[in-house]
Amino acid sequence: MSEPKPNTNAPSRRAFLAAGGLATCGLAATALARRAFLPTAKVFIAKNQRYDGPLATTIRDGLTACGLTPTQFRGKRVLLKPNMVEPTRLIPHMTTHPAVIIAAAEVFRGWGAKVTVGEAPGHVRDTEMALVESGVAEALSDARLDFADLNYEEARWFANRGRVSPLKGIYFPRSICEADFVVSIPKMKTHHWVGITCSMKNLYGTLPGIKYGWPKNVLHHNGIPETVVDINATLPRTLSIVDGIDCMEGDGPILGSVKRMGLVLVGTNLPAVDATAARIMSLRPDRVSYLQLAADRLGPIAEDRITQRGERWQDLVSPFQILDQPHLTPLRADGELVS
Amino acid sequence: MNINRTCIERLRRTDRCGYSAHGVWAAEPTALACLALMHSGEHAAAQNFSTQLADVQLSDGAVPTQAEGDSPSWTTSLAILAWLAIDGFEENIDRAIAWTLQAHGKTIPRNSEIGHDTTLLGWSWAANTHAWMEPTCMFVVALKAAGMRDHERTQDGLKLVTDRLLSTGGCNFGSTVVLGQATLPQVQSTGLAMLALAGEVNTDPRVQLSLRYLEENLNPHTTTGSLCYGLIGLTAHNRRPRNADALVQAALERELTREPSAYKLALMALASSPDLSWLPQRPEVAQA
Repeated sequence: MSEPKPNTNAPSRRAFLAAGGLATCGLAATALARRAFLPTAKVFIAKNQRYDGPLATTIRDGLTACGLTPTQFRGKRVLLKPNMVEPTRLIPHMTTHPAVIIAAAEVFRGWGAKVTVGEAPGHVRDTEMALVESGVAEALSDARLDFADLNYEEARWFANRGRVSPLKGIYFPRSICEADFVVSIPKMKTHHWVGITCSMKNLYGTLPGIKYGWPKNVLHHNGIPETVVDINATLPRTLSIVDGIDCMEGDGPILGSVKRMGLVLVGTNLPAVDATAARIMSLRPDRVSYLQLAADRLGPIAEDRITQRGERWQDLVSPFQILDQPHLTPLRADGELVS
Repeated sequence: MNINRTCIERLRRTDRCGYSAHGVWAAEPTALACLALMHSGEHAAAQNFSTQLADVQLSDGAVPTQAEGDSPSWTTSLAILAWLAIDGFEENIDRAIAWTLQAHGKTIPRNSEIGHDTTLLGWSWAANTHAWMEPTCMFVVALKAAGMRDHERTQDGLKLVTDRLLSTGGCNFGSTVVLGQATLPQVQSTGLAMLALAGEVNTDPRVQLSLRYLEENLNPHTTTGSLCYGLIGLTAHNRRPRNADALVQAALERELTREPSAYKLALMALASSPDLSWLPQRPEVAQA
């Protein structure tokens, strides 16, 4: 057997190094190109906020800082979606404060939009009770704002654009279907199953109980993080205004304790807003299941792709207590536990 | 103002029952309106609504919440009640009961995170999901009215209803303790639970605590749906408050300042009754 001849076509060391350099450059360029196409977003944060303060000014500033202009809303239908999951007067920090809803309505009305407030309370069939207990009924009446009971409206089926859960499609109530903008107005809270509930999870309350039940158990059985992403992917254009003034820590979203933060967050990209809220709460957004799934699919959650407007989140971090449960402890960046 | 007459007059002029004055047709308000109208001797109007329910009944016997397809069918329970109250729907009732007996909630192995017994069947809001308090109560009430109190599904349902009562009284949508924390009671679901448990020998102290919870939480500011279910629950246990009529009167006056829905008109008519004579009752059927 003769020895194998040297491969004269083999590249020289110099050529190899040159090719390697080109390949490295190519990879780097590809990575840069990919990165250039990854989503970015702006999130506005205001501190020292009070329910009896000039919230409309704050919200207007926030929306403007995130690149929105009044002309975008002229003649448009805006649906404000607060959080009224299971209201009781005994726990006012469970639900979105009426002052934030009314201030948001004032801004969008001032910009020429037709504003409706809508909610499909997740745990109670008596929506009127949810409105009264949360204080929202009286506030809406004073402000002459219409309310849409999303639990019982006629619903239309839409193909699931997220396709993360097994759901083929999602029913949305008429008021959601007709809205040009759905504005999530959540309370900033911990959540005993998924760690944090904010803008994205709040939109569970856009789905009608008449189709999904009380609780909306169809969603739970198809995966909470997966269906959070699917709902957000399938809705019309969404914005976020977070009531981070009196928040909830510990056993949220219903039975936790009040945590006073004095914050309002505003953004046009909900994963970015929620990731920022998580950082302020000292939770790791990259470990929150639905934010992991939403990352780069629906928006950025990485810090370096979220442009901060207003206050810096780093200056506002105040760890929220979370339950000492194995499914929650990995979310802690620096949070205290509560047992 | 006569509460019942006011509600019935308005229901009689309605041809489509929804959850809001201009809302889409829905089975629950239609069935409740049918019961209220029959109780007031308005046979023709009740017949009309019973026929509407029959028109949407599916081939498998289920009656969906709304007229369009692919809706959940917990409202089959209420359709059974409506049809039991009026002659001529025996075949619909039989098919609805057959569907009811094969429908059930999805059980889950017991775990330390959830306080209630997740292995009890009961009934769910939607297919392939866990059983919850209100749909289970509605099916229990319907099966008892159909003379099937002793059926094993009814008895299992009653077990679930008792299991889901909170230790301090009352119940919510059907969770008792989650991750070690007791949940909060709600008036509407507690009222319905008390209706389901009416007539049962049940020495569980949570039943009495739940009745007391209702008594302490019905007042002139209680919203209409919760108030009506709360009163019906108390009435079912002969604990109807002395100011019951005044409470419904206040609710009706509030409702008349806006356009009342058929749903709330029917509930107020039923809650204004001093007894449960509006609830149909077939003789007990011997169970094999």
